[in-house]
Amino acid sequence: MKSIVPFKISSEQTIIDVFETSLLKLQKQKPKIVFSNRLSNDLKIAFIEAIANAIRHADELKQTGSIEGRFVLDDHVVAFEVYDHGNGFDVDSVPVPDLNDLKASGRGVFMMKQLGEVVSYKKKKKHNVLTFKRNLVAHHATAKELDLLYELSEAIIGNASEKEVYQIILKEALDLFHVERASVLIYDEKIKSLRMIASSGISKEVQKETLVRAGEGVSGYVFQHARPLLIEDIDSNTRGIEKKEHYKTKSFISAPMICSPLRLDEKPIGVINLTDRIDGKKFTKQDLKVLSTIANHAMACLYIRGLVKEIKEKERLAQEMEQVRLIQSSYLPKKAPQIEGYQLAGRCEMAQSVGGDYFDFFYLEHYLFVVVADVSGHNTRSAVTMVNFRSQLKAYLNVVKDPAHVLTYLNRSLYTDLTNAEQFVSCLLVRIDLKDHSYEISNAGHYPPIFLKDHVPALNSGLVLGVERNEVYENIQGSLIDQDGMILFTDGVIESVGSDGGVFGFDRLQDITHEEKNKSSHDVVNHIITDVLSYRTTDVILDDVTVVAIKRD
Amino acid sequence: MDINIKKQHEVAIVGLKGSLDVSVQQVFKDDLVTASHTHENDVVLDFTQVTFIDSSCLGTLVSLAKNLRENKGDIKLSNLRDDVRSIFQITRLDRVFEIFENNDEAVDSFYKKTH
Repeated sequence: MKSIVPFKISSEQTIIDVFETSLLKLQKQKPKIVFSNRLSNDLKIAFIEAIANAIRHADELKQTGSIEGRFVLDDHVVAFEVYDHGNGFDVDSVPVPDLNDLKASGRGVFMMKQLGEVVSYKKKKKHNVLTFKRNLVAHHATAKELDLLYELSEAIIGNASEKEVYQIILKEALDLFHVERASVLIYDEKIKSLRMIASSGISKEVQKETLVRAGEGVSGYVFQHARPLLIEDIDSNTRGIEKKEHYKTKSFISAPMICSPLRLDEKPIGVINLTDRIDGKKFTKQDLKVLSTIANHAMACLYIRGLVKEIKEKERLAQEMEQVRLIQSSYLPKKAPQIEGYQLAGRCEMAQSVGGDYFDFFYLEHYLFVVVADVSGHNTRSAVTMVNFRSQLKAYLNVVKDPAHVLTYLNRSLYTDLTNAEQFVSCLLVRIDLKDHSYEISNAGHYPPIFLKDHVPALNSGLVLGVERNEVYENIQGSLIDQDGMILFTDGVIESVGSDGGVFGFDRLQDITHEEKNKSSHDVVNHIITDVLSYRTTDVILDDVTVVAIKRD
Repeated sequence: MDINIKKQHEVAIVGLKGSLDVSVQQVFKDDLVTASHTHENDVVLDFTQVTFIDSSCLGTLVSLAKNLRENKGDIKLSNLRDDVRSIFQITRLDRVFEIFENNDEAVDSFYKKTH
C-alpha cells in the first residue's frame, strides 16, 4: 500500500522545512518503516538538488510562484516527484560534470544518480516530472544489524571488561533474534573445556554444570573446527550429543567467536549458541551468517581494544622515560672542573629503563667535593627526588664543610619526603683539601671508593638516607699521595648482569682500577664504562651506570 | 607473584620467590600489604628462593617495616643468600632489619620480645 504526501514549496528558504515535514508525515503513515540517518540525509540532498534544478532550469518559482510535487512511500521504495513547466531536458544526455566547476549544469542530476536507484524525467501533459527513487533496505533487520555492530564496537572498545563484552554480545543477539535460549561459552585453558559464561533462558544450575570439551557435541564441534553450524533438525543430526529434551524446537545455531578467521591457526575464544526462536520457526542460513558476523565483530573489537591498551601503555611509558631523561641530564655535570694538580672525570650511562644515579663536583673555598648518589626506584619520582637531593646538598655545602655533618643534615631534611615516596638514597660524599691533599669521606649505604694505590680504609658506612631520621654519620680520613686517586661508582656497575648469568662484580672492578692506575682519569672512566656495557646483557632491566675518577697528578 | 604464606605462633611467614625487581615491585608491595593485613603485624620474610632484590623493592620493604613498627609489629628476614645479603650490607639495611639463618629463629625472636 502506498503512502503519498504532496508538497508545495513557495520560496527557496522553505525547501528544507518542507522536506522534513513531508518525511515526518510519511513516517506517521507507515510507522513500520524506519528511515536511518544515512537514508534521510541522502534523500535530503537529492531533494534539494531536484528543487534547485527546477528553480534554475525551469525557472519554476518565477513562472508559477511555487514548486510542487509529492513523496511516495511503499514497502520497498521511497521516492519523490518534482513537477516543472519548463522546456525540459534529457536526463540521460547530461554528461558527467566537472565536479570542481560548481556552475556546470548537470551536477545536480549527477549527484542524484549517486544517491538513488532511479532518476528519470518525463514530459507529461500538464507538466514535466523529475522522479527520484531509492530502494529501501531489503530486510529491515539489516539496518538494525549494522546499528548493532556499531553499538558493539562502541561498548567494547570503550570500557567494557571482558566479561561485560560477553554479556553485551548475548544481549544484542537476543535483541536481534528473539529466542528463548541463548548462551555464550568460553574456552578455559586450565580445565580444557568450554564453560558457560553468560546465558539467558537457562537455569543457573545448568549454566554452572555445563562443561564441554573440544569436539564434543555441537558447541565442541563448532569450537574445534572454528566453523558455524546450523542444526535444522536436532533429532536427525548425527553430531548432536546435546540432549534434545532441552529444546522446544529442534533448531539450533552455533557460531565460533574467533578474532580473525583468516588466520588458519587462530583458535576460537568460545562459542555462542541460540535456540528456540520465540516465533517457533527454524533458523535459516541467513540467521547463521548474521550470528557469525556479530560474534566475529565483537571478537575483533576485543582484540583491537587489547592492542590499543598495549600501545597506550607503551606510549605512556616511553613518554615518562623521556621526561626523566630530560630531568636527569639537567642535573648531571656537563664537564668536570679543571683543578690544578688533579684529574677529574665522571660519566653516567643512563639506562633505557629509568634510573636514579647522580654525580657532581663542587669547588668551594680550598675544597673539592665529589658526590655520587643513587636513589631507589626507577621512575619519574626518582628523578625528581634527585633534583631535590642536589638542591639541598648544594645549600648545605655552602655553610657546612664537614661531609658527615652534611649527610646527617641531609638525611634529616629529606626524611619525610623520602618516607612518603617510599624511597631511600645511597650516597658517597668525598671532600679533598686541595692545600694538603687530605680527604674526608662520609658514606650513606653506598659502595665505598676503590683507591688506586690499594689502601683499604675502614668501612664505617652509615645507613642509606631516608630510613632512620636521626642517623648520625661519620667520616673516614686519609691522604692522597702523588699519583694516588679513587674511583667512585654506583651499584649499576657491580650488579650488571652478563649473558652468562653472572655479575660484573666488585673484584673485577677493583682489578681494572689497579690495571689502569697509570692512565688518566678520563681514560679510566671510559675504560670501565665500556667494559661494563660490553659485558652486560640487555635482556634484563638495566640500571644507570656511573663511574667517577679522581686522581692526584 | 609466587608467594606462600603460613602461620607459626601468631607470626606470618611469607615465602618469596625469584628476582624482586622493579618489574614485580607493585605486585610485591600488594602481596606484602595483604599478608600483613590479613595475617599479623609480625612478619618473617623467607628469602630462601630469592635470587635478587633491587633498590625499588628494598624501598618497599623499608616502607612496610616503618608502617608495621608504628603498629607495634615488625618484619624480620631469614635465609638470605650471599649476594642478597651483601646488598643489605652495603646499604647498611642489615642494621634496620634483623636477619636470621632460618625461620624458627626468626619466629622465636618475636616470641621472646613479648616475654
